[in-house]
Amino acid sequence: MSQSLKIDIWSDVACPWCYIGKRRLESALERLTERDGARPDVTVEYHSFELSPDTPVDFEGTATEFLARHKGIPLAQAQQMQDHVTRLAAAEGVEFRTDRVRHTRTLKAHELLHLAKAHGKQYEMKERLLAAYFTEGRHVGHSSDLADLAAEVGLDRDEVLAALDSGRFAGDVAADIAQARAYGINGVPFFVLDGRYGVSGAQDPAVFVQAIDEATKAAAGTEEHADA
Amino acid sequence: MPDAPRSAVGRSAPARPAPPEADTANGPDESAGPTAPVLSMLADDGAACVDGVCALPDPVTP
Repeated sequence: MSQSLKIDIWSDVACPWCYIGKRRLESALERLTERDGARPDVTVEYHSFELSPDTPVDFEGTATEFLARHKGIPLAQAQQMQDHVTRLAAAEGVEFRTDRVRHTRTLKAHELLHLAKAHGKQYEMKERLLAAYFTEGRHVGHSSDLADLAAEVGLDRDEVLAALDSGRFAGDVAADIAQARAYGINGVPFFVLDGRYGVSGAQDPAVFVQAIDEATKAAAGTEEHADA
Repeated sequence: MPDAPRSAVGRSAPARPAPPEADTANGPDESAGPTAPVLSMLADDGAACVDGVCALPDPVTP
């Protein structure tokens, strides 16, 4: 009997490699579907990781300018980094508009992702937030803007506003970050397969295929051993 | 496993889990937060954002 494989992903919204990694994992799942004639039984859950909790919600400037001002990276080098990652994103079919990006703290966006999870819409919400931030230049730091985006994926706008304003899911965000710390994760995206295997970074789809195969095989072996 | 794209533009610290800092002299610290199993790494050093900087990983030295 085939085993369902759980993939836990630690990720941020303001994280280009997280968006690229999401696309590459999706490509890997499509490859597995084509190879095996059926979609693999995989469940994905996103977890919170704040890359720059020191970012002001109302930072005036682009992500490139934030890197220059707050991380001490020369503006020209920061721009070069952004241009490079933009080209790699395009190769995955994702349009990055770094000229439009409105850099902000992502704490509230993470709280929204936990609310969306409670309603079974976390994956759609994650995709909507990434596209809003990287492609559309939407602000993802204020409750009202987040509520608008949440409504687009079918969540109740008033419920979202109340939850974000009260910090109802702040504890869940903190718990995710503490769990990442316990794993020793210091960068994202980071993928944990079956709670036992790690894949760090936005790997090539072929690497994800191999990792999913290995984790699935190991889980099946464990089940057979337990049945013996 | 295919090589990850490399660049001389910027270098980031690896995003792999660091081994936990062990301090067993006084027994387990109950206030240290959640514990987690040590992960078996199936793939390491992929492109990642670390401390707000999203550069490419360091090239692997042969």
